[in-house]
Amino acid sequence: MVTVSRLCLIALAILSFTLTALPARAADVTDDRLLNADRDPANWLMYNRTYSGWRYSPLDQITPANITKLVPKWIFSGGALGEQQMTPVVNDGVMFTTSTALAYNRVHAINARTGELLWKHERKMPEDVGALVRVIPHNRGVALHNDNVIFGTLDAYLVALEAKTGKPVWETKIADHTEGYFVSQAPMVVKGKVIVGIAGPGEMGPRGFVEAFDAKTGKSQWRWYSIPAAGEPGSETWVADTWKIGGGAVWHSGTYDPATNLLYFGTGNPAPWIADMRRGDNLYTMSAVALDLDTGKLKWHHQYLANDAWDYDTVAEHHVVDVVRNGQTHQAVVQANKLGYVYTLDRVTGKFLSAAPFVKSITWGKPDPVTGKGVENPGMRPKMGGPPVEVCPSLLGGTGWQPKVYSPKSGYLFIPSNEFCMRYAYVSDLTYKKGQLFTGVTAEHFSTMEQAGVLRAFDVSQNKVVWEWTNRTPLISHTLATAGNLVFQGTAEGKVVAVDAASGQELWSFNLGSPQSGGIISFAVDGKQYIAVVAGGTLRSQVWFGKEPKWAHATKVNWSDIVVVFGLSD
Amino acid sequence: LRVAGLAIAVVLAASAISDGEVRRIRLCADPSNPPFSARSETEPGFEVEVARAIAQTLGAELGVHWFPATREMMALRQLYEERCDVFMGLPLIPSFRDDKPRLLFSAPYYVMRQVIVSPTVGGVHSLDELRGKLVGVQAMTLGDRLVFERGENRKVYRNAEELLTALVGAEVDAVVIESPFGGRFATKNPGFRVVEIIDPARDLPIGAAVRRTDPALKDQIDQAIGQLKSKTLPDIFARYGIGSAPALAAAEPLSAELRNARTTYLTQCSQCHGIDAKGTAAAANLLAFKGSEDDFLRIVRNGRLGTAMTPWKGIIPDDDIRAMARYLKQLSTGAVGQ
Repeated sequence: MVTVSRLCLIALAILSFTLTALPARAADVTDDRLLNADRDPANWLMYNRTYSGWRYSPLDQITPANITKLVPKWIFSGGALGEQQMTPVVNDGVMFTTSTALAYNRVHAINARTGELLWKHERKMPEDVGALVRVIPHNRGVALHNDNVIFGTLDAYLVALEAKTGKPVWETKIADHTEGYFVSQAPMVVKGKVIVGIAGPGEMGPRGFVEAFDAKTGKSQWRWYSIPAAGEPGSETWVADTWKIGGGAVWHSGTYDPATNLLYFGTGNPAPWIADMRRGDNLYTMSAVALDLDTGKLKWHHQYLANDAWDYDTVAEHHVVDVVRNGQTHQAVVQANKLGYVYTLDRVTGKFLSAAPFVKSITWGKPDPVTGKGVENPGMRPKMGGPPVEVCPSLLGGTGWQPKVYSPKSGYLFIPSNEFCMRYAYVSDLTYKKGQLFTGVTAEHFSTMEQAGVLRAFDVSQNKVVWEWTNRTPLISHTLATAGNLVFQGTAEGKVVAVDAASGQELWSFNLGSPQSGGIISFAVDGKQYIAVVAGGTLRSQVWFGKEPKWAHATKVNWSDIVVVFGLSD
Repeated sequence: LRVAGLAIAVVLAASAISDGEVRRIRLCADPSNPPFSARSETEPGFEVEVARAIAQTLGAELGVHWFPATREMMALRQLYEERCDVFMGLPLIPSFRDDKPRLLFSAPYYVMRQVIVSPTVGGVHSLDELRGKLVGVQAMTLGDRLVFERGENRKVYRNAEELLTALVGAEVDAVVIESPFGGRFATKNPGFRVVEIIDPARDLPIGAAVRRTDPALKDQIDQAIGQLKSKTLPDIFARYGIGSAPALAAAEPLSAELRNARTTYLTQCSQCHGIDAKGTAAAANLLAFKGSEDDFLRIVRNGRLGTAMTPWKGIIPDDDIRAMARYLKQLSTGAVGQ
């Protein structure tokens, strides 16, 4: 056991120990390997597997024909009682996972063949983190670069460890955690830069941003704020000093296109959630933004909804896809978001191309067919201190933070979507208090449908839903598509199912015993394909389901932080 | 869309004036059916008030053709025979709509729900708390059916008036009744609490009807409802005690300290513990908290190890946590609304 005394100076303790040597020497994750991750079927080198954000595995050993032989091979317990929203990454037979509770961020290196723990790093958290971290302490995974593992923390640090040993290499304080800043997303490394968007602002107040750091040293290279400061272009969309506590978190991993050299991020809701308290369009919240990788400069933006009143963050990943419409190919980004629509934008210019609904429960309004800007239905905004308004979708969104999955084989976007609504009210008065939730709303979720969770296959060229698979509770769970013509989907009831990618027909299911809430990935070791499923629960599925009797059964499921890896029986 | 709606209203108003006379929309209403409608200056009933607001939005004046609505066919005939233009208060459900081919129905302007009315002290906060109580209902109503289906002890009355008289006389512990009756009763009888039963399957969306030959008026009414939905309509219904703003909260306003405590509770705690503080599957029912104010402070400061209850020390000041304890105490005794 090695204690690093340097860090004790800032009241942080680090525990790091090596249990065994690596099974085989894993190759370094170079910039080139990351750029060509799509041509590396055995590995899952980053959060969304590729920069394009597809989460599509080219592995095809497991198919509808042999799926009934899919059995658990090993189970890994992370031991944390908290949110489990992490997507593992795999490099040459070594899996890296995170487990997170209010007291710590943990990173594990695991032998991906056996489930044996190789090393564990635990970073203790200070006690003065903000309210949002206290309510939903979570982390979505690590990034790999060369021989390092890089992750963000609940106290807003960026940390690099040695991939082989778990020993600390460098760390950088990104922002002041007492203001509510933290890192939940898995960082993305592109051409030697670690790209991180910050979490917290949408519920806690301070301005959101995306920042780039040198992957070798951790030094900051640029920072782009999602809210312009007074005097900057776009600041006219904020009244007085509201921009200073205007939110706009960028809490979801971005995507990247090497051809345009642009990073694509979705930005979150403005703060507070009470729209009357920050009049104006509130740029660049609720937007798609394209940032130059080298400089962090804004190349273009498209605001989905001005002056958001409902916490409808549009942070979901923008899939880099070439979309064919009427025989014409568009270099596009495609985003399915909380508003309930699949948006297609030109990824070079940001021009709006189309929007098509993928859920039925939408009452807030709709995008203008020409400009793509949200046009609200009247009467859907609550008044401060007034009665609740029933509006659909709920603030968890037509689809929420759970990544969407794109299959280049079929051209389908697989969307874990939700048919639900909320009774939503603004409190009568609200004051910004550092560290407290700066939302100012009450919300109860409900559904008029028997099956609120709907996995939908959406044909991005035809702009329509082609099949549906349904579940009783909303799908606050993950999805995976493979070249074996399978789509895997988790549920809050604790199941993972496999459906036929062409028809949506359910072929296989397994009871995990804990809500499926983290990533589902596929990888291969020694030429054998595996499926890894992360379970453990989220506050969203366990508490916020609380007022809808139809979902009571799911709230009874216990939480356990586990990774279950499946393979074909021998 | 909002701007477009306003523009349409402006155009209508202008055209009414250019014709040289103010347009008149005639409503068919029952002269003695409170709280829906009544031939009274002070309390005309919310259906009349809603119709007036719609007419106003359309730049028209509302006239009323008074006619008893006790016999549905006779009443609707007034509309068919053009003695009036609009009928309010009709349920927008297939069983009612489908055999009225001569009518066009508007969008809903409110949802009629079942409510539980019970004494503030020792009364009922939720459907589950009806268990073991004697529950009064009006025969053959949705409330009657609901209480019957849940297998509660039920006592049946012939009409709303008899039912509410029985509640005042403590013949029954609680009644389940339509929101307009329950709301009106509570606004006039301090000491009773109204709890809405949230169950989409039992919601009755309510709208207006016009003659099928009058589609333009239907469209205009829909437009008007859209515009009035955010402010005017909630205000009208609040005055009649219908909807989510409980009349009781206004009757006994909170002190400034407890108002702040309520805001803190609603913004920091209600997502897990519920707006009513009665908890969810993973968070405790705070109204059932038996400890002292010091106990409450200690738990909120430190959290509950092994549960989702997180420590709040350093974020919510101790004085605010104590004020929250007092707010929840008042909420649990029913002395204040949520």
